[in-house]
Order: sequence, then C-alpha cells, then structure tokens
Amino acid sequence: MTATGLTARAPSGAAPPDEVEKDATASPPQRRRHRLSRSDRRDLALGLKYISPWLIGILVFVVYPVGYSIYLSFTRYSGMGAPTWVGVGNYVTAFADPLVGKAAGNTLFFALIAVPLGLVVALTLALAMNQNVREVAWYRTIFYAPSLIPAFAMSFIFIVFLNPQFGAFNQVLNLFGESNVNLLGDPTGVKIAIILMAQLGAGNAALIFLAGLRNVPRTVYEAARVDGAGPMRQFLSITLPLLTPVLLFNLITGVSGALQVFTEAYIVTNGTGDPDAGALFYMMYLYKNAFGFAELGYASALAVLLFLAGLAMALLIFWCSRRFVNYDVEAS
Amino acid sequence: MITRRTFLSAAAASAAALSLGACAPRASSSDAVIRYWGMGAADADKDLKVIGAFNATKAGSGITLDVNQVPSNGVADMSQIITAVRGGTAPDVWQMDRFNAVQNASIGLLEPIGGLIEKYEDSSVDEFTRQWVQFAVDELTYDGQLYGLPINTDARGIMYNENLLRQAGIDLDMFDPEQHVLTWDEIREVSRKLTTTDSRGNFETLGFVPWDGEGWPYTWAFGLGAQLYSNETAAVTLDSPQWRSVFELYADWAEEFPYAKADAFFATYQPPNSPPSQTAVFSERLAMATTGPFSIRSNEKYAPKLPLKFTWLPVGAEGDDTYSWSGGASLVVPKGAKMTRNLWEFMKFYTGYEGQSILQPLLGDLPTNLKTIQAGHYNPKAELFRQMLPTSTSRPPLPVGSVAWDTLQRSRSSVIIGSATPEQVIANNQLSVAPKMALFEGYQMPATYGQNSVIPS
Amino acid sequence: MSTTVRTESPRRQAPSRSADADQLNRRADGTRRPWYSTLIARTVMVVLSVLFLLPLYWMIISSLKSDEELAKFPPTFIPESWQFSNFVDAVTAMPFLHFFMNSAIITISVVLFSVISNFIVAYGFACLKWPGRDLMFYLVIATLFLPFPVTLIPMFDMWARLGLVNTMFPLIIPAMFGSAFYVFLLRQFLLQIPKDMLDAARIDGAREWTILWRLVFPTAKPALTTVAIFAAVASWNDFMGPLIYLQDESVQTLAIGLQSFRSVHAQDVSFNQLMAASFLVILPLLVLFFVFQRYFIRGITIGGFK
Repeated sequence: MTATGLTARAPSGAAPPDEVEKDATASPPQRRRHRLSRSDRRDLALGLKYISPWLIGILVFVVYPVGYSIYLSFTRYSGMGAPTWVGVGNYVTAFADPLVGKAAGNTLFFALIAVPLGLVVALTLALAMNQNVREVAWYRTIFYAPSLIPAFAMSFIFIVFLNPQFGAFNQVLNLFGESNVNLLGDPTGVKIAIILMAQLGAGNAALIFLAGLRNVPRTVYEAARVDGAGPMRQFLSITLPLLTPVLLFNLITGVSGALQVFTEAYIVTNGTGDPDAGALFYMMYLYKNAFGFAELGYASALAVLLFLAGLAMALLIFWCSRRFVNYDVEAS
Repeated sequence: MITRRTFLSAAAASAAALSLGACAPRASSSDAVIRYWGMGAADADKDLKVIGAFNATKAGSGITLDVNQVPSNGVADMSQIITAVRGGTAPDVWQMDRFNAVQNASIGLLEPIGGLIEKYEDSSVDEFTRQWVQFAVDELTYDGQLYGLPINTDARGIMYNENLLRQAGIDLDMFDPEQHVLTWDEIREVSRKLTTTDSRGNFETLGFVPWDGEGWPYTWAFGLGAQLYSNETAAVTLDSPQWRSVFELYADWAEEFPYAKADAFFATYQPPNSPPSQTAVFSERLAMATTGPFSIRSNEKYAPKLPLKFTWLPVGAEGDDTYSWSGGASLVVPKGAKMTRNLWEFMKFYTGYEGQSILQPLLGDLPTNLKTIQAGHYNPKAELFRQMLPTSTSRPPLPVGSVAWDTLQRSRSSVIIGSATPEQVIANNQLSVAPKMALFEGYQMPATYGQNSVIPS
Repeated sequence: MSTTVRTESPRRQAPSRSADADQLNRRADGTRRPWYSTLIARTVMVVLSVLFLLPLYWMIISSLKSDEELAKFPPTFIPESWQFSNFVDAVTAMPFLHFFMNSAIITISVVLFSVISNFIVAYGFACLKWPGRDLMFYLVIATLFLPFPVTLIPMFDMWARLGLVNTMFPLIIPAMFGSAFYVFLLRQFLLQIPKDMLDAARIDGAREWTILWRLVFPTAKPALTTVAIFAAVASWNDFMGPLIYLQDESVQTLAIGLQSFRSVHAQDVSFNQLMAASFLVILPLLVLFFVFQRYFIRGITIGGFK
C-alpha cells in the first residue's frame, strides 16, 4: 500500500520552479514542430491511451450534443418536427431581449458574491474539518450534512429561517425596531437569500479543500515550527500556497456552478423567478425557453452564449492562475 | 482500507449485477396493453378505481392498463414528454393539464383524435363532443382539430371566514352567493375593516389582496373584459385598455395595502413551499382568499372547525355578469401512439359518464361530462362552483399559452412592487407575446371560445 | 466512528491510520497537548455545527409532527407529540425497498466506475507528459461550462435509438468515461506528486500501470474519496436523469419516489411524510459519509520522504 520501497528514493531537491510551472498549469502551446519525434509519438500514444475513456466519452456524449445545439441555435425549433433555418436570428433576438439582460445581470450578481463567499466559507469549514480532535468525524459529517439534503427539502427549511416574524434574519432587524420584511419578496433580497442558501452546501467545496489540506505533509509544518513560525504565518506561507491547486479547482467549478445556477432558484420561486424577475437566472430562462415555451432553437443560442462567456472566464482565471498556483509541495 | 484488489473486484461484481438488474421489462407492444401516464402518485388510487371499473365493462375486459405515475418538473415543463415522444417511449395515453394542449398540439406533440371518433363512433366530432362542457372542449381544440377529451374542471371564487367577518361587524348577507355578488368597491371596503396593523407597522390581519392565491391576471381579466387575442383582427391584444385596468386593479390595491407589508404578511403566515396546513386563512389571519373547489378537501382536512364559505368573484358594478375561470386535466394521445379501438374505449370510458362519476367525487373537483354534472356525481360542497360554470371561461387556447402566462404573472409582480406602471407592462406584454403569435398568421380560436356554456343543473 | 474503530482494534491499526491517531492530542515533539489547547477550536466548531445541523434538525422534527402541529404558528421547535407513524406511512406510500435497491444499484455502479475511469484519465493528464496535453486539458475545462438543457434532447435521442430508455444504463454508462469535474479535481491533486518520485519508479523499470496503482493510488486516496462521495451523492439524489430515463416503476429510484408525496393538487401534500421519506433517503448517505470520512488521512507517501 504505502510504497515504502520508493519513499527511500527521496529527491535531493525541488524541481526548478519554472519547469514545475510549465508542467503544471496549462502553458501556452509550444511552437509546433512539423513532425513529432519518435519519443514524442510514443508519449502521445501513451497519453492518449490513458485519457482514452474520456476521449471516447467526449466523442459520444459531448461532440454530438454540442454540434447539434450549435446547429439548432441557428434555427427555430420546438423540439418536434423539422427545424427552420433562421440564420443569426436567435442571436439578434437574444441581444434585444430585455429578459436575457435581466437574467444575465442576476446571474453575474450571484456569481460575484457567491463564488468568493463560497470559497471563504468552504475554506473555513475545511479548516474545522481538519482539526485534530477526537470527535472530528462528527464535525465533518455535520458540516457536510446540508449538502446531502435534496434541494426541495432544503428550500422549505431555509424559508423557515427567513420568516419575517420569527426568522433569525428578522430577529436582528427587529432589534433596530424595523418592521418585518420578507427577504424573498425583494428582487435583490431574493438573490441574497439564494446566495445564503447556497452557502449551506459549502460542504462540497470544503471537502475538496480538506483533501488538499490532508495532502500538505506534516513535515513542512514541523520545519516551519522549528523556524518559529506562528499559526498565522504557517497558514499564510504554507497552507494557503499549497492549497492553490484546489483553490483553482474550486474557483473554476464555482464560476461554472454560479453561471449555471438553477435548482435553488427554481424551487424557491416555484419556477417563476419572481419577485419582479429578481431571481430569474440565466439558466432558468434558458430552461423555460427550451421546455416551457417550445423554443429550443432560441434556448440553444442562449446556451452557446453562456458557454462562450463561461469559457472566456475560465481562460482568464487560468491565465491569472499561472501567477498564484503552486503545484510543488516541496518548494515552499 | 480499500485495496486495489477489493476495489476492482467490487467493480467487476457490480458490472455483472448491472447486466442482470438494470433492465426493465420492455412494455409489451400488444394492442391489449395500453400504456398510461397519470399525473402524480398522490392520486394513483383514484386512477386505479376508474381502471378497475373499465376492466369490468364489456369493452374493457381483457385490456391491461400499464399505469405509471410520472411526476412533472412543473406545470409547464414538457421535457419528459418531448424526449419520450422523440425517443418512441411515450405512453399511448397521457393525462395532461388542458392548458398545455394547444401549444403541445401546435408543435406536433399530440395526435388529433377526431379520426378515432369518426372511426368508432356513429357521429361527427362536433356532435360527439357535445357531451362535455364547451370551454373544456375549446381548450383542447387547435386549428379545427380535437386533441383530447376533458376530465375534471374547477372555477375560481372568493373563500371567506365567517368568524372574522362577523367579528368586524360585516353584513354576512353581502357574502351570501344566493343573495348578492360583491363589487370591487365593497370587497375593498370590507378588506379595510378587516385589516389590522401592529405597533411596528406589520399587518396582523388582512382582509383581501387580489394577487394572493388564484388571483392571477387571467382571473380578473375575464371579469374586466380583457382578451388576449382577437379572432376578428387575428392579433394579440395585450395592450388593450381592459388589460390596463387589470393591472391598475393590482396597482391600486398595492397602494392601499402596501406590497412590502402584505408580502411580509404572506411570507410569515403562509411561506412558499410550506406545509399545506400552514396558511393565513387557516390561522385566521386572512379573511378572504381567491381559490377554487380544490380547497374544499384541504379545508376539511386541516381546518374542519373553521366556518369557511365561498362566494362569487367580485364584479365591477352592481348587476354585472358573474365570471370565473376554469382549468382541468384531459386525456391526450402523444404523437406516434397506436390509435387502436382499445385505446379509444379507455379514453371514452375514463372521460365519459362512468369514469367521471367515479373520479370526480373522489377528487373533489367538478366533472366536465354534462351527464355526470346532471346526475350530481361530484362533491355537493362544490355546488356554488358548478353554478359558476355557465359564465366561466378557460384560458385562451393559443399556441403561445406558456409565454403569455409567464409574461402576465411577471407583469403582476412588477406592478405590485411598483417597478413598472400598468401602462408600461401592457406595452411590454404586447411586445413579448405578439411576435411569437405572428408565426401563426391568421390563427383562429374556436368560435365558441369566451361564450357562455350551457350547463344542466 | 473513528474512535469506535480504534477501540475495536487498538493494536492492529493500518499504518496510515495510526499516523493519524498518533497525531491526535500530541505535539510535533510527541508530548501530550493539554486538554484546553483545543478549547477555542472546539467552541468554534460546536457553534458552526449547530448552524449546519439546523436544516437536518428541522427536517427531522417536521417529519415527526402531526398535521395539526405543522400548522402551528410560530412553529414548535420540539414536537409536542412524536408521530413515528409518519415514517411507516412514508415507507409504505411507495415501493420503498424496491426503489432503494434501484438507487443502490445505480449509485454503487456510478461510484466505482467514476473512481476508476476518472483516476486513469487524470493520471494521463497529470503524471504523463505528451504533446498536446495542455491543449486537450482546456477541452476538459470547456465541457464544465456546457449548459445541461441543450444536451438533454440529443442525449435522450441517442439512448432511445439504442433502445436503452427505461433501463438504468443511461444513468450508469456515462460514468465509465470520466467527467470533466472529477478529472479536473484529481488532476489538481496528482500534479502535486513530485515528478522525481514517478521518474525514479520509471527508472526502476516500473510500468505506468504499476505506478498508477501501486504508487499514485494510495497517495491520492483523500482525493479519490472525495470523488467517490460526490459521485455517490450526485447519483443518489439525481432527479432529472431518472425522471427522463426511468419511466417504469420497476426501474425508478428513491428520488423519484419522493415525488409521490407531492400531488398536482399542491394543497394536499403530506408534508410530514415527505420530510420523513426525505430523511430516510439521505440517511444511508449520512452513515456512509461518517464511515468513509476517515479516508481523509494525510497523504503520507509524499510526507514520508521529506
């Protein structure tokens, strides 16, 4: 199990940082040679062999649906019968549709708050899950438990805490003598409520951070302690840098999840996105068009736009990540 | 510890189990088996009673109903049925909200059933459908073709709590449906008297607000003469003065009974997605609510002691005609189903006199089958709603029904919050719906749509 | 749970777990920490726990209340009468055991296939070096941003053409081919394994397949556990997939069964039963999580050679 035979072959030093960086993050494609050398071809064959399950998967489960959607985005299509070619008509409509603007704005609002907040909450939970106390199994289970509750049950439970009369939120307001308000009845409030509700599901991201924390060798901390570093120094100069790979993961998947936020809002607002379209998120509007209004062509165009926006953000994050992500455990 | 060996062998074992367990027996393709999708497991027992009675008839003996209760993601979510029809796995007969019929027919999701009537009945489609309430048949008609048979229906009225009215010194005769139809002015006045506020400005009790419960834009539109579509001009008329008056009604009420306070009131006493027993009516906080016969069952279950009664929807002026709107379910045939005699016999039985006579008393709704209505085979407590049927209307049978509904209810939200004026929302509504309807040039709703229906008593 | 395990076999602990246990209540230099050293941390965690337990607590007490008590305002925090019959009703309202088995078959298969396939693919992206690798990896990331509604129809068309609608295969087979989320997750961890360690093994003549299972697999256990947990929860609670692909009751799952408490007549939801059933549905996940969370052990192989 533990590769004892190999641990003895400890490397004498860390790899040069720049080389690590090149390996690790996706570096800009290197200048292509006309022909791959024999060893390159061998490496390529081996690499492809290992990723082949995913390659087959993408060919079968992704390429066809995506190609089909792109085609549909240029058509008017109800989901039945034959699509009618409308050129870029759907895209023109999308840019003029006030609800697209509204839904995109709501979604960005959600992403801008929910993603950073989610990272902080998840990291806090992960640190708590990583404490060396006897009952840590209980904490881990408790912190993760809300992530297991089906969304429809969660929405009911959460609404109880937002109750204008006795909910925790209004108890605070009452201290200031304010009259009761319904957070869910305000176009901005409803977004904040959904963001807060999403934080109860931070256990997922926390688990990833926890796995990252468990990956930090204890020896690193011991060395730091010998050097006289306090807990805060240790966190900032060891824990955080070594967590950057999982931080990058949680950031990218967080953005991806936020752009596609759907279930919570769909259930809390019973699919309406009310009040005043304040909780009409992009994905909800897309879904409504696809399966409520029989406008699958239009929905496909909306999907292509969302996909492109998401991709642009991911590339931006990756580009920035080369400055902060560190994959080298020993280099720190 | 999980070792690689145990791990891989577990994987292999599960793969083996899969090939054994993952297959469901494919539905038989025999004509004697009808695949049927109900609308939800909560009422499955009622479905089975009708099917049992069907199998006991001569026409139904030997026919097997393969029943599945397929829950829906939402009223207007067609993802399951679209995928199933495309994949050839749709049922032979499907219970569907009539509201979706015209849109689903327009995209080719349903089979017209006129052919079945002509083949197996000795009558024309028009003649045959006279067995059912006219507006229910209209709601299933697209482009002159019939796409299903109606099951149940309902109507909207005002439910009120006699206790609260009496305490506030309101003349109860005003609410007696035998004696009087409330006007908007009267219900507003009553609502004022019944509304109380606490020291911090919160509503403690509330009389009535027109956007709660079944107070949808359509509900009031039918009373204020607002039409979504005009057959004469073949155009969407969502920017008509009548529609403006619908939204002005909301705006007026939201001014007197401020939205934020009313909203906090409802969020307190009947939060969304909360138990059905937790309503502002049951806790005697709300005196009047817009609702339908579907409330009778939960009233009896959760508040048997409250004196909850029903009356007509409010009208503009004394002596104006009463009105209401009615929805309900239907049996339809998804595209590609086998149009067999057995299928037809089942549809005819389920929606006909016998089927409705079994089903409606159990559901607590009203029948659409005229003979069933005449025989009184429905909940006697729903009698007032039966009396509403002659002047009731269904939502307009248009292929853009979902978009229109969505647009109208969002406009209501904007108007009561105050982010848009009635003038602005009706202009927007017209802009959102008219271009979609323009794809159906010259579209005609059934000529009988919007007219009074003849209901036997 | 971890304490239970320890008392069962105090002597025969796996090395990795004893490393973890050793650390418990000990300083780096091996002396025992005084009990109060964790007091602040424990206080914070107990407060956080109360917050995160509230949803579950509310679910449980709602499931035990009677219809009348559910209507009470303000709601009671402790049920006045404990109506355990709600659980009986919840289980008998649907073919619970049958649905449970279906959910279990799907979930167990998905977990095993996900862990294996994603691990192998992630190894290809993280531990092997080959031309075009990073470009290909961008494609993995890109698929994270595909909105699900548009793939719903073409995917269904495909499974229908294969005649596999109304079987569990459409929900299981995709797990054999990896998914962007898990590949990305595992790659982030595998990249932290020192290249020298892998190269050393290669120089020793070890084949990649051997390195993958003998060297990398044990190291990646926390990350693989995460994948397993995620795959299990996602599959167990999945609603959309079963809703579309599993139309016959014989293959339906618990997530679909939960819907049987919700009527088209929204006024008539058996709320306490719904909560009772929901609790029973997530209970196996809770227990499994509790048992498997101990695999979040320190990646000792990496730490070992420092």
